[in-house]
Amino acid sequence: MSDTERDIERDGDTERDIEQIRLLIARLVQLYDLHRHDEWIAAYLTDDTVLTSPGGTLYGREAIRAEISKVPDNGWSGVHLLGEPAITVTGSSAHALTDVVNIKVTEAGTYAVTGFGRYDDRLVRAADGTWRLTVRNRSIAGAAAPVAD
Amino acid sequence: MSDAQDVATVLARVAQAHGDHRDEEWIAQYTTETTIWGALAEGSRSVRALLGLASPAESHAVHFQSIPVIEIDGPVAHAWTDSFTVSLDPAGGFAITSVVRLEDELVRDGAGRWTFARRLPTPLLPPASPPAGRPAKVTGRQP
Amino acid sequence: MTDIGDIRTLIARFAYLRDRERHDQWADHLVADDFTYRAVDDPLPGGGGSYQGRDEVLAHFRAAASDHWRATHFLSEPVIDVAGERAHAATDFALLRLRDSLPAAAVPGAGAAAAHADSADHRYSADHRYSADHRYSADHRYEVAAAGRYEDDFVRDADGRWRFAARLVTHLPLGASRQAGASQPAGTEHSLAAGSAHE
Repeated sequence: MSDTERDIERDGDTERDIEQIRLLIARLVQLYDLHRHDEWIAAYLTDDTVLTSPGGTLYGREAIRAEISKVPDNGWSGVHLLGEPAITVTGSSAHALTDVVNIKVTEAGTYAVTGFGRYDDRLVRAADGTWRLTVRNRSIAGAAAPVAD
Repeated sequence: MSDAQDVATVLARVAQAHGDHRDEEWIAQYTTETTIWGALAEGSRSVRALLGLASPAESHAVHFQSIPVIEIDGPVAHAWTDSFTVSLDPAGGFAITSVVRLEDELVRDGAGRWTFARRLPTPLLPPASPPAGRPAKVTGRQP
Repeated sequence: MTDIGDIRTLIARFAYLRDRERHDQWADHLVADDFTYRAVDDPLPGGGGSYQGRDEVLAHFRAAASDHWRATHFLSEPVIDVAGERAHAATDFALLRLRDSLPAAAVPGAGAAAAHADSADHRYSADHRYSADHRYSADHRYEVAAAGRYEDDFVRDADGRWRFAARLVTHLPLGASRQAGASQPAGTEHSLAAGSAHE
């Protein structure tokens, strides 16, 4: 294989990786919004995934699952609008930055923006070729950054 | 990566950097001395001056960008992106402060780097009352 | 480009053309002859309904056309699955529009001609700054008119191009707030314990 052919193949692999990561980020929030938490936790996290937000940090899939189980299921009540992620792939690791805007239904029965922020994600490609989230730092406008542990 | 994905990534990084008030970063990386920005600025220096008039660094905003429509024509890319800005107001509420159509032309240099040749933002504004005349005609490239 | 990339662009292009009321273009190039369109729980007057076939869908959108650009559909990142010559996508969206209640006279530049639904010529005047906030008045003049999810089916036609076979639009139910709002104590919106760990 020539160097050019190798470059083309490598570019194609990166393109596919970016595509798969975009899909992961999108699938995760869609499942979250429908309260299908077991699905996204099983499919897109690792046992050691770290989730950080202004409220603090959760370590590991089980801690995340335990916290999410406290969220009451009120049906489909909001959407997370995801902007185009900016993704960098380096071998079997990746970094993704995604703006997010929350839209919900207000008490007055109208739609409104109820928050915005950014997902700062680190991902790895597992042995089976699928991408998984290892770290998510979630910043929210107007909220203080989490205190370092 | 494909040219379309490269361009989409540039647009995303610019929007994120702009929202973070890291304007010098994206201006240095993605504009040149011939970049035309709207009707008011030409060249990186003018873009810097224009954005120097923007809201203060302590304000919080996101410039959400919908999926862009991108067309590649050799070393030239045309992109059409809808964008809105949400700001956190001092009272803690969220306000949508603009809705804009972005028309971009980017060029790729010999090193494969994409920079803006021009950006034309068209804001969504209330119609005049009473109407001032015939609606503006469409000019410029359309996807 | 990959099939997923092509379909993603198709979804974006459809929104782009619809919002600019270039209905003939999306009808000719982006949808199949037997394209069906159904909208459920649409909060906007005349927005709901079910339409069969390209011509019927086209007639529906043409009937709702206006001369002025007043709203834009914003798309979230779609979830796309491809299976041979068929594909499916789920894309969250929000429709943002001008708020009717705010007087045009309160806005700088209100004396300018109205922006046509498909206008590339409404340039910034010296009064308008390209700022991080795009503030044109002290009032917030935009609102979310609708939000929900598109469930789209696609088919690859004989020349290899993807087209919409069907679109189902489901809106966030407006009665959702009364259940959701009561469940989260005020001031705890950032607390993990309140369940916003992944908000």
